[in-house]
Amino acid sequence: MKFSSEEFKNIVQTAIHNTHVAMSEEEFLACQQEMAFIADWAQEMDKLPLEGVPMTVNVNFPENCPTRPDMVTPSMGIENALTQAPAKLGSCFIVPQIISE
Amino acid sequence: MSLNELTLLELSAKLSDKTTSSVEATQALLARIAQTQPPLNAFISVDEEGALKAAKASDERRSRGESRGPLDGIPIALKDNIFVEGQKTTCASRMLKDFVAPMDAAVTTQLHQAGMPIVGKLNMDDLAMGSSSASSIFGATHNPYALGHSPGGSSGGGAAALAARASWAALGSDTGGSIRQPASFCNVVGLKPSFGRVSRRGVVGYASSLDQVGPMARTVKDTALLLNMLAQPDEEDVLCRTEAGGDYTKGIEGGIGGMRIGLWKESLGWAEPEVAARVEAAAKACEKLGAKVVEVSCPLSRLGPLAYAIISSAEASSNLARLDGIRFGYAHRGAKNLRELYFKSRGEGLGRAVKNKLVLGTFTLSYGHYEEFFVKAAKLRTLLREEVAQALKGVEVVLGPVASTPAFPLDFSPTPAQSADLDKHTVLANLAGLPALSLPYGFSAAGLPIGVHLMGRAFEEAALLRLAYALEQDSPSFQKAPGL
Repeated sequence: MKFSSEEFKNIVQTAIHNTHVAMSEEEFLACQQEMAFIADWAQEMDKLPLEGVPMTVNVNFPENCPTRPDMVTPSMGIENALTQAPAKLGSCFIVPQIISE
Repeated sequence: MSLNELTLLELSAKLSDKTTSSVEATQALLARIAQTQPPLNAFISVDEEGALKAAKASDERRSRGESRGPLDGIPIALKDNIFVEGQKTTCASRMLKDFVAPMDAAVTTQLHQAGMPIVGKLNMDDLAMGSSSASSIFGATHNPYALGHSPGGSSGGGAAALAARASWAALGSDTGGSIRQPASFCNVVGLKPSFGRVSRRGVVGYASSLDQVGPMARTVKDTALLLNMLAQPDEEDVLCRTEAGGDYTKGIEGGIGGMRIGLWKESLGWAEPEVAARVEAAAKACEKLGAKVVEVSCPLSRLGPLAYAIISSAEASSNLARLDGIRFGYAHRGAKNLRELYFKSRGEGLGRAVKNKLVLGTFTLSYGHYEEFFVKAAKLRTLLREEVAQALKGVEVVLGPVASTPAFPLDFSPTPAQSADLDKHTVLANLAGLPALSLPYGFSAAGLPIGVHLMGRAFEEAALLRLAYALEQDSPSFQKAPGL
C-alpha cells in the first residue's frame, strides 16, 4: 500500500492519538521515519503467495496448548489491586472528572 | 581460585562437600558485584539482606542433610522484568520505576523451591525493547570485554554480570534474541527455550506469542542444570507444557557422532567476515567431532525481522495498554482530564523506542491497515515456520551467527534499517517457537567475543545442549574471562 507523504503523516498522527502517547515534534519525526521504513518494507509481503495461508497467532495452539477448567479462583482483591494506584480513595482508583457538570 | 571464578557446577560441588558455604559464596558474590557495579552497571538493585538470609537457610538445610539439590545455596540474579514478591520490578522503565511486584513469578517460585538465593535484579533495555541495554533509565550497562561497547540487549545486565564473574547464573527473557545476542556479546551461554517450555507467569509481557524466559550461565552444563529447574509445568500459564522437561544434563556428554547439522546459508551471508569465520570454524569442529554438516537454506528468513517488527509491535501495543497512569506505575500529576492523564503519563513514562513500537503496533492493528499489515505478517510467520520446519527435517540443529557483528559501541545509534538487522539471525527461533542457544566461540581481532547460534526442533533442547557441550569441550580457550 503506497501512501502520499501527507497521507502518511496523518496516519502516524492518528496512530499516535490512538496509542494515547504524547510526543514532542522531534519524537514524532523519528516515529514517522521508523513507520515509513516498515510500511515500505511491508510491500514485499504483497509478492508472497499468502492467499489461503493460515495466520500463526500462537505456535503451540492447539496441539500443545491445553485449556484449564473454567473455574472461579481467588483474585488479588481490591486492597491489593489499589496498593500501587497513583491516586485512590477508599476502594476506588481516582481519575480526573470525565462527565462535566 | 576465588569462589567467583568457579562455574556453577564447581560451586555446587564445593557446597555439597562442605568446603564452602552458601553464605561464603553469597558474600563473595556481593563483594564482586560491588567491585564491578561501576563500571558495568549490570544491576538495578541488590538484595544483600534477602540473599544472605536465603543463603543461611540453605546452609542450615545442608547441615541437617536436607539439601534441595545441586542448585541449593547458589545465588542467582534475575532480569528486572521478573517478579519477586515485595521487590521492585522496574523493567528499567520510568513507567515502572517504583512498581513493587505483588507476587512471585512462576520461575521465582521455582528458584525458591530449588533453594537459590536471589541476589539482585539486572539491568536491561527499557521494557525489554532494545538490543543494547543502553535505553535503561538507570543508565547503560557496559560490556566487560570493552567498556565503551554494549553488552547487547535486552538482557545485557545478566550477560555482563556473568562475564564479570558477578553472578554464577542469571535468568533473562527473549522476545527476538534478548538472551542470545547479549550472551554472544559477553562470551556467556544463553538459551531461549522452546515456546511453552518455561512458564511466563509473573514476567512483564512484551509480545506474548514470542516472549520466553530462559537461563544464562558461563558453561553449557550450568545452563542445562538451570533448565532442569525451569522446565516445569504451570497450570496458571495456559501456554506452558503440561509435563516437565526432564534432566537436560543426562546425555549431554554423549558426543555428536552422526548428528546432522545444518549450516544456515542466508544467515552466514549476512554476517561480517570475522563472524562468519567463527561459524565456519564451528562447522569444521562439528565435522571433526563426527557430525555431518550440510547447507540449509531458508530464503524467506530475510523477511523474518519484518514479520517480527509487525507482530511484536502489535502485541506490545495491546499488552502495554495497561500502563495508563491510573492503576499502577507512573502518573502525570495535575492532569485536567482523562485524555491528558493518559497522554502525558504514557508520553512521559515511556521511552522513545517503546513509544515508537506501540504506535507502530496500534497502526498495524487499526481499521483499514490490519489486513494489510498484521494479517499478512501472521501469514508470513506461517510460511517462515514451514520453511524452517522443512530445514529441520533433515538436520537436528541449524548453525549460524548470533549477530552480524561483535558488540557495537554504546553510542551506536542505528537507523530503522540497522535496527531491523540487529535481530535478523535470532528472530526466526521466536517466530517459530524453537529452542536456540548462543555459545561462546572465539574473539574478533579487537578482542570482542563472538558467539555461534544453534537452533533446534521444538522441545528438543537436549540436542542443542549436547552439541553446545561438545563444541565447548573442544574449544576451552574461548572461555577467557575479561580483564576486569
